Amino acid sequence: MESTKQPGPPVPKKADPAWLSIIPDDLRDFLNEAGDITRFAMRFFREVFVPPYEMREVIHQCYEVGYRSLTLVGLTAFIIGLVLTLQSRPTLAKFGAESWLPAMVGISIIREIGPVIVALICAGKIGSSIGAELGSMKVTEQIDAMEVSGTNPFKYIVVSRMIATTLMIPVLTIMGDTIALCGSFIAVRIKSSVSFTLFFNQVFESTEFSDFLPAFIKSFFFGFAIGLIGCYKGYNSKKGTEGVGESANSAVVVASLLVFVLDLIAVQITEFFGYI
Amino acid sequence: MSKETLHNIRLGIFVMAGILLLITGLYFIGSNTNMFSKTITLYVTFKNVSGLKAGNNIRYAGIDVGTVEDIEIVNDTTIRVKMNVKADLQKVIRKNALATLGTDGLMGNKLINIDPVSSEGELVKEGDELASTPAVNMEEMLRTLSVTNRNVLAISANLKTLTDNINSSRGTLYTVLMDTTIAPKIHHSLDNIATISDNIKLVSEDLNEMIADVQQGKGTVGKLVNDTAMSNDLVKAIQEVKSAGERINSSAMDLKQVLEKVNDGKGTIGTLINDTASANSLKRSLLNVEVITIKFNEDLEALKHNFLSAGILRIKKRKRRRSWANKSCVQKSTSKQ
Repeated sequence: MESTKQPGPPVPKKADPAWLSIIPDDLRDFLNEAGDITRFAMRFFREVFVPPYEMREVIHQCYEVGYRSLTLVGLTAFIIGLVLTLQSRPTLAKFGAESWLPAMVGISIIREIGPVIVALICAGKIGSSIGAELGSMKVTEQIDAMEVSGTNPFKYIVVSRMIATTLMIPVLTIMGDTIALCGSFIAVRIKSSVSFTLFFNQVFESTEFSDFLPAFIKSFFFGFAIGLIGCYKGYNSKKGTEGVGESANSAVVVASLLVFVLDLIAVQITEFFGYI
Repeated sequence: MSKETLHNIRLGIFVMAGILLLITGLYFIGSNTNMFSKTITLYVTFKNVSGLKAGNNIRYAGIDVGTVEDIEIVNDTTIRVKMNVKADLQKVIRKNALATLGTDGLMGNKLINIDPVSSEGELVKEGDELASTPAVNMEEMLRTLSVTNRNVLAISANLKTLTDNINSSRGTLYTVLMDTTIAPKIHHSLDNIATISDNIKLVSEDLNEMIADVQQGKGTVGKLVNDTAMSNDLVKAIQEVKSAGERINSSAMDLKQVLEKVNDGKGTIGTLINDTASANSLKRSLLNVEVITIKFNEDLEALKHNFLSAGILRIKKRKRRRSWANKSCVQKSTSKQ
């Protein structure tokens, strides 16, 4: 028995709910994008645990994201440590509390400045790089070609990059913290004769796990956010050369903004658990 | 070596360096909270912990030796603090050590100071409880300081009034303070005092020498102090003086009795002193004796000039002269020898 499917009348498009018209267009676009990013993130979690695993690409991306960002991150962290110490010194000197300088700068760098500065630098460098790379791949239809050739472009391109950023940003944060403390030590030595041992003793005496661990954990989230936004913006880039530039630019802006939002949430959670 | 391998090696170095730094940082932070060293648990009880929190330091004789692990409210006046102290310190901390709440610097974190006491005591064991002393309360200290400030204010006001009075009255104190001629006088007086003190020093040195001599038994006082034989003699002498005094006392008593009898007119002397008739007859008798002796002298003069007795008297006179001459010769010869 053969059944033939007759094309029926066109299904009328479902009308938008009434409450949607109340929301302003900009807000609607923002919410739409937020929902899209969430779906994108959920797709990542679905894909990441399913084989095949693109380990070679993950390692390659780790090299690109981690190793090749070290110079920039190191230089920035060194300058931040140096400048923060030099700027804090006069205020502490007014109270005769110069001996507290290593402890104060140490806690500032480990708790907040280190992770946030490294995340912002990486949002600028890596976020824009991923956005532009994926955008150009989208524009030149390389992603479509991958799908045609049977390769899962999401797994190969997006998952590998997001894993790389999630793992490498914490490592860069630790290195950045260490280099920033070295910069701080040099700034302390400019004005007073504090030994290297005494400086690091004072830093670690005043530092506790409650200072270090929340900062270390939130750097994973920063890395994930940078990878997510970079990949999302590049993967959903508009057609044309303008689209590449726009996706790179918006990847940096949104990733940086998300870093601050995550930092705010991290502070609230840390306070909730009594680590402040 | 392929490009990919080179990248992998670089990435490996980068990640390993990051992990190494992470472990080092965790170790240093953990070592401050004695996470990687063996610890013992000690307890201490306070009435008020003044903001002490879990994780605050424990210091023994000024050295960080542990951290506060837990703070438990036992009742409304007792707060029990659980302390983790390095196990090495078990050889040093004694059960009678005192725990005090303190502050790291003026505005630093709270901490517990364990101070050793000088007396001997047993070494602490796991779970021992140390004695505590109440902490210095900052608010109480500030209250006391406030009272002190008020007192200082009152004193400074009084001092101001005093100095105003001195300035306005131009009295003695003003003169002493402002007169420039007083300074040389005071200087001179101080010189004199210095001279006096020098003299006193010399005197004291002499006195010291003297005392040393006395202690060595030199001189009369030294012998008196140190010579036991002499002291025995002295004791004997004192005893003799005492017995002589007793005898004198009894004599005085006898004399008193005699005088009482005399006063009462008893006996011959009493009669002589108190009986006026006897006294008059005695006067008369004495006058008669005086008359008799005058007459007797006259008779003797007459006898000298009598021819019978003159020769006998001359012979007696010659014998007396000879005996005197012999006596003087004997005395001269004995003095020469």
